[in-house]
Amino acid sequence: MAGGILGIATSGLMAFQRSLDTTSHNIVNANTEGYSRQSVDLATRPSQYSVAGFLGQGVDVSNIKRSYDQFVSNQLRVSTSSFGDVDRYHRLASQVDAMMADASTGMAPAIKHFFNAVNDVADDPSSIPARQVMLSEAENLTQRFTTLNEQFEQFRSQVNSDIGIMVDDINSYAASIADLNVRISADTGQAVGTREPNDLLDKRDALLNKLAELVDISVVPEQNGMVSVFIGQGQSLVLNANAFEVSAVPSLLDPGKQGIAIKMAGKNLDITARISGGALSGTLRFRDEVLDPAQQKLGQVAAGLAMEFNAVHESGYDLEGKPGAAFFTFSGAQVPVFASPSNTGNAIVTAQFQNPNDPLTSDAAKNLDFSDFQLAFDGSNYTLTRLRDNQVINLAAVETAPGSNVYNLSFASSSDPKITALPGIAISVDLNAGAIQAGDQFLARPTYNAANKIGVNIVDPSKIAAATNLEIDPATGKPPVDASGNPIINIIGGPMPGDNRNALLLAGLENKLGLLGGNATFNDAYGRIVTSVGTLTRSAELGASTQEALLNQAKEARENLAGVNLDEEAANLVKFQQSYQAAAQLISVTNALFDTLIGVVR
Amino acid sequence: MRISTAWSHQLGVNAMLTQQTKLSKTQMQLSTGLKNLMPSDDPAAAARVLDLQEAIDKTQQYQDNIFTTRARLNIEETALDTSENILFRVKELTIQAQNDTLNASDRVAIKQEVDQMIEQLAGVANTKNANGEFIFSGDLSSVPAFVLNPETGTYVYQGGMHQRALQIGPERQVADGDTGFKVFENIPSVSLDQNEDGKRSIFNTLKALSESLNGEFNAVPAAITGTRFLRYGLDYSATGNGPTTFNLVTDGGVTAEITLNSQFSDLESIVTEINAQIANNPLPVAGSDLSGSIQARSNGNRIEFVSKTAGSGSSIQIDSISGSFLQDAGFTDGQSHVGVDLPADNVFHKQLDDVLTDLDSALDSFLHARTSVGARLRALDDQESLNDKFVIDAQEALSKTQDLDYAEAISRFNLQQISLQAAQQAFAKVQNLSLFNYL
Repeated sequence: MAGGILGIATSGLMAFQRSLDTTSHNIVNANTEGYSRQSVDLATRPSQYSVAGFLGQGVDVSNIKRSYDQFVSNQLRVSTSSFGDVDRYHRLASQVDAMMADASTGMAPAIKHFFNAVNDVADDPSSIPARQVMLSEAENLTQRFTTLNEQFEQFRSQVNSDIGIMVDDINSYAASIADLNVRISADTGQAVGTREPNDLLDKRDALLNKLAELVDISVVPEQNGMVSVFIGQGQSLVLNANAFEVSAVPSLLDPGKQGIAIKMAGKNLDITARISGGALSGTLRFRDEVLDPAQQKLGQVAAGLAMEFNAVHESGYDLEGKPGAAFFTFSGAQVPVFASPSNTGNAIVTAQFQNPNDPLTSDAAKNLDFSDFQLAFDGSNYTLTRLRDNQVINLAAVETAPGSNVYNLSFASSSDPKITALPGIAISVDLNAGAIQAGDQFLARPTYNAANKIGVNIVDPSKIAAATNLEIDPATGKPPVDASGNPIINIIGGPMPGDNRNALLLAGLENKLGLLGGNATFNDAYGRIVTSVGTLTRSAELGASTQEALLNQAKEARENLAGVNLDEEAANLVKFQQSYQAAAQLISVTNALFDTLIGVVR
Repeated sequence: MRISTAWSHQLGVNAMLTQQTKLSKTQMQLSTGLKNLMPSDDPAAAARVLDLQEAIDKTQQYQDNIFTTRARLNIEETALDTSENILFRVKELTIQAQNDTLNASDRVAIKQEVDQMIEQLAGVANTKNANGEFIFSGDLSSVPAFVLNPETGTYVYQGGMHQRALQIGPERQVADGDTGFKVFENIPSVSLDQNEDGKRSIFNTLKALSESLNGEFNAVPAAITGTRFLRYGLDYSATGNGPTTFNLVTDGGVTAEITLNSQFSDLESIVTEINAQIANNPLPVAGSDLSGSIQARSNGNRIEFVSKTAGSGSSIQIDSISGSFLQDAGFTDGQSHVGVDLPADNVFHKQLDDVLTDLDSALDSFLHARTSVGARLRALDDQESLNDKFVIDAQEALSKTQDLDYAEAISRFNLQQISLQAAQQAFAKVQNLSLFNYL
């Protein structure tokens, strides 16, 4: 049965050649990302019945399969998403953290130097050089505010461009996955039984992993080897052969803020709030939890400082005996208000910072809140919602003058008993251009860009109002009294160069607990920004290292299952080579058998 | 258990990266000397560092303020010391002059020395500090405290009414001087020509001494002085306080009615206007010239009305008619004063006795000021050592919060170095192991 031996030998040669091929494929792909180790399943050929019994017919390659485990793959994908989220968040937050830590860019030294200069003016109110130093330090202080704010803005544009890039990546991955779905389906259809296009599957798994790095996905296997991919809370990104487009869209009330939308049936559906996991979520969370509050709180310090300092400065008198002007410019103390594009009415809403010199609003700086506020009208009542915690302030509308059609909104009640006044801003609604309609919304952002708007108003050092010019009776050291013994508050109408009483009040603002509801000095308030960014960064760091450990475990599990071990492949190489050699030897045996037979006949 | 070659490679790399990260952090700590490099390393400590640094800087500013205050008080102390010495000499001269054996020319010789003393005392009262501010001028530090009134020949106080204070501690302010008014002007007097409130300026006392030595004895005219600071004028224009009218009744019945109805930019212009109206007054008949019986004068920063006659026949009274002049200038409605006659005999001795008593009052006033300066200097010392102690404590706390424990850090550095070397060697060894080497 030489034909039998030859056939079997050939089948062995073929099988071991395939095995050697696969081993070589494993060896060269040892470093290919996402590659799963492949192995050859060998099976005996169906035996042939003979009188003697069933006779073996050799070996066949039944399948070339990859080491794959659905659970391990899913675990890896989930871990990748979680790590991508905290890692991106941590990386961005630590940049802000480092910026805050740097003594040369932080606010604390600038605030300190400024107030020291104010103290020097109090020591020497008539000294022009001391006044000049105070102006320079004020200039330096406002520049620090604007520089820090600019750095925050740079982070913001970095965040926006990151979001754009990530959205592009998501779209390109989704398209590739849809494309691979088609090819895998075609290849799977071509093959018989459980034979799968291993390398294409690996490629798709790698793409799914890349996608998971950017955003949390859930993957559902479909027929013909296709998969569907869902993001957010069940919004489909890939359905079999179709990919849906994700886009970055500006937020309705704040065009500088990018959100995420997905195109469904020709319409953009906003899914920003539903994005979880992955670097995209990390970026969005960084913006909402670290960047926005830090920038707003910095604006709160700037606005509070300008309000308080101006109030005291304006009640003093300068070196020429003239009433003090505003020390800091504050862009007209105007608060930016954005009308929602969906508003149907034409009311004009304006807001401005309150003046602490007005006895009714002397706590304006204390009441300042770093949050943005949303003003809404429900058809009869105005409400102001503090967006950071959604506490609602009910407002009362009072017409400024009968028939003016301009209404001032004042505090009426609040859902939070701790809120007892407007947050340091006065709001008015002008209905002359058109009525306000139920459902109209406006966004007021008191502190958001405040750090960028602060500047020094005074140029001439003699205009610093160091004096109070309050007349006192030298014999008693108190204000003079009239005939009935009541003090006469009289302002001397001329220069009092040696009077430092207002400068002392200005210097005393450094210690005034005038911010954050009366709990913090300017420096404290800045310190709290540093602490809150530091705390968030710290917990992100811990989260990132935990997630990294989990990711590494998942990677290890996958690598242990599907990774290539070169020693193993070397051993396999030897094994298959020897088998091949043995099978080849069978052919020479066949040859010898043939020769023997020929020799007998000859 | 199988391990993929790529992963074992990765593990080795990860181990080295981890060790390198730790090593580089320790290295940063060693090179900066700081325990925490980023606020996130210890957020609470970061806030504490900001707080402590602010507290230290603030306290150092207080120390600067103390330094400034002390320098100024020392200047005042010296000025007061000199003033005392001048008055001691004047007192000697006065006692010497009381000696009846001296003749008129001896007294004139003494008068000449007293005149010198007056000039010298005015010089001391107009001492300037390092910034060119007149130290006794209060908050009007740009003008000399005492200036010679050419009309009366005496020195009048024209400084500010308020003495500024400096912040030397979180809750502590200390005045960096005293006003000339308090030290030189507002001195209790027993003399005939004391002010309405029983006070007389030391310069007036010295002038009375000088005149007495010269044989000039003057009965005292009636005079009333406002208490308010009028240096920068008053506004009685239609847009200001509106017109104001008041009566000046002098020498038992002669009345001058004054109406002010425009804006006066300074005291001199008010005085000029009032004197013009006195010279051309509607009372007793239109166009009466009362400038012989009464006169308005500027007394530094205040206004005073003086009768032109002297002695007990001289009287002056101010009555409000309408408007607010009396309150603005610091008079009370109906305020009046009567002049004093010279004593019938022994005028010279009476004058000198009064001068001696007033000199003692002045010395008391100087002593009082010196004691107060001394107490303030003492307070500065106390506050300074308090502040020093605070700075040292705060610096220690700061150091504990932010400074690196070098011993610990260096031993950690060594340990991490060894760990890194171990990781590197392990990597090299493990990566060398391959079955392919033996095929």
